[in-house]
Amino acid sequence: SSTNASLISTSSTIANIPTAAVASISNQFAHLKRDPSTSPSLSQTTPSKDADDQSRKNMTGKNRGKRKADTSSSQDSELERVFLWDLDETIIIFHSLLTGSYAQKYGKDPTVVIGSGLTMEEMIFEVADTHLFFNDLEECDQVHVEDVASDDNGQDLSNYSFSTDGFSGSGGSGSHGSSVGVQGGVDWMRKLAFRYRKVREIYDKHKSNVGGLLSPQRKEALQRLRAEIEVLTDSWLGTALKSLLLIQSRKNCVNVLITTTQLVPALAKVLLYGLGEIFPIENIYSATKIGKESCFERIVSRFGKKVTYVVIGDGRDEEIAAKQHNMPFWRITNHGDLVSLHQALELDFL
Amino acid sequence: MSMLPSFGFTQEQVACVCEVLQQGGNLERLGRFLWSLPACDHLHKNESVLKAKAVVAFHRGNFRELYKILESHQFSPHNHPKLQQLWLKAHYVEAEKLRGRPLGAVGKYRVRRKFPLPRTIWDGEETSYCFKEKSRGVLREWYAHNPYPSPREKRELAEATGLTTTQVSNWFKNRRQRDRAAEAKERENTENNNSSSNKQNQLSPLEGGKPLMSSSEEEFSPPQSPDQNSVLLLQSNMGHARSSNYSLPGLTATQPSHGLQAHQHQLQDSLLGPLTSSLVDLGS
Repeated sequence: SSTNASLISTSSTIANIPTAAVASISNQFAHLKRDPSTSPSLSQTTPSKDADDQSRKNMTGKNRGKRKADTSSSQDSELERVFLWDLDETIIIFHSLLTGSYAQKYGKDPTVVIGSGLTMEEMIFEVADTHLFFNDLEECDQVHVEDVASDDNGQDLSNYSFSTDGFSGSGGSGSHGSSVGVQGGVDWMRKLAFRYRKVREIYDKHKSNVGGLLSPQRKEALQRLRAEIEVLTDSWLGTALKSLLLIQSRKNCVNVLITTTQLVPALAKVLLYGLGEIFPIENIYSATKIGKESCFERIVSRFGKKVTYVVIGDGRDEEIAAKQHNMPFWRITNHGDLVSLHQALELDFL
Repeated sequence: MSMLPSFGFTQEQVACVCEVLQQGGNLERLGRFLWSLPACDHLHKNESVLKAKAVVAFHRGNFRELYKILESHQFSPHNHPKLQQLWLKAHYVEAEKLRGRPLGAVGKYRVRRKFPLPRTIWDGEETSYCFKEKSRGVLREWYAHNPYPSPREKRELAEATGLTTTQVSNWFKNRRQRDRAAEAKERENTENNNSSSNKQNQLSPLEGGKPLMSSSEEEFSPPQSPDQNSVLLLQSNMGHARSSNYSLPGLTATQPSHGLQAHQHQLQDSLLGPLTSSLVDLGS
């Protein structure tokens, strides 16, 4: 179908396969494509023949080939507000732990702060490498977990050996980049899709309990680390969680995460900081490749223009992106801003 | 950004709430929020807050208040469209109430004349009902090259002209339709002219459809007599599609050859093209 073609084209601009390779894609596995955020309109070079059908939306070309099924699965009838959250320094404190700027700003002992940051960073990459194929996926990062789903054939993966399927050439984690296998071939794309499918499964399975991915010692270490960071940051995450949970409890509101971290490590971060229950994996977007503005555009395509979007972040790129889309922006620079946000939500002002 | 201890929200946050509630259409909540704001001057002069107040005033039918707000503060251009709509709608509603029945297009026009938009929400630019000449030129040139642009080409044209693709599509469709009508009429007229001798057809500005320039615009041959000169100049001022309508003696003989030239000349034609060529030849 032409819809498949445009989905494939999106993948092809990522991995440069000729669109002739489309032929092998089977249409039967609808469950892989149910995600509403798989918007084929992401790539500007996606050719489309039915663009003019929606002349109103034609101008930016952003809804080209968009299937009706997409909107129906995103609760259009009830949804009123979509909250677009930044991750670092908004919900969690991580990066500024590492740089020492948090210590400086809030007068904390830099050694302790940076130490905690480093420990957390180590855990993030451990989870990403061990369980989320980060070694394989680092060079072919996606914006969203469903982006390569169209290359999947839905086969059973319970006995599949990821370590020996030839995805990463020598099979080891050493060679990244273009020397990897036959990158861009249909076979390779399918293996890529398997990995993202597996990532999704693992996320869904452990989102309420990341400890299941760790050894008992590591699990304990994580709990201690999180408690430590919470104290160091004066309950930053806890304060942010109040707003997140309040939004989640409302039927007409939804939380979406947009981060400039690459997708796979971002997922690890979300799991490790205990945010897996707040953000279903299909609500997580990585802006590393395309920037926040394009991410916002994708999200607007997904939820429509009838809802009101609220951007919450610590400034810079999300503020600019919000302005470009005429979305109200709530700036987070300190605890007080998180508290005010919660207050505004409680008082029904947002 | 003033932080008010008892209140708890910064000016920026207040502005954010105003925007959210406006965009969401939650005007009751917005009204409640505005009412809860402390009487801080700084806050109440914030543009988002004023915009919110205007929207709430309109929603409540409190038009005096609305006009006062709209005239009291210089709003930034990106808010102008919305605020202009509020101004106009409010005045229409009031006029309708006086009239006792709904306003038609003329009635609304009169309201707009009577209550011109204040410069606080308007940059003074008059509404233009025609596309800019530059845009029209681009479209015309393209049309001569290819009257059936592809979707991609339409998008490029839209960008080049500052119009929407819908506008471009409509322009092309209308143009083709009018050309077809003009061509049909021309053929009919040529037949009529060949059969009858001195029939001066009624010239209507609507014939051919386009005000000044059209694809089948043809150069006018030099007139044969002074009377015909003035008639011809007058007619070319009205910019008619086809000089074949002018069954003035001496002209019809030269008609057929113009058809082909017109297209090529069109690209280089200025508005005065046909007119000047007529003027040049007046001397002879």
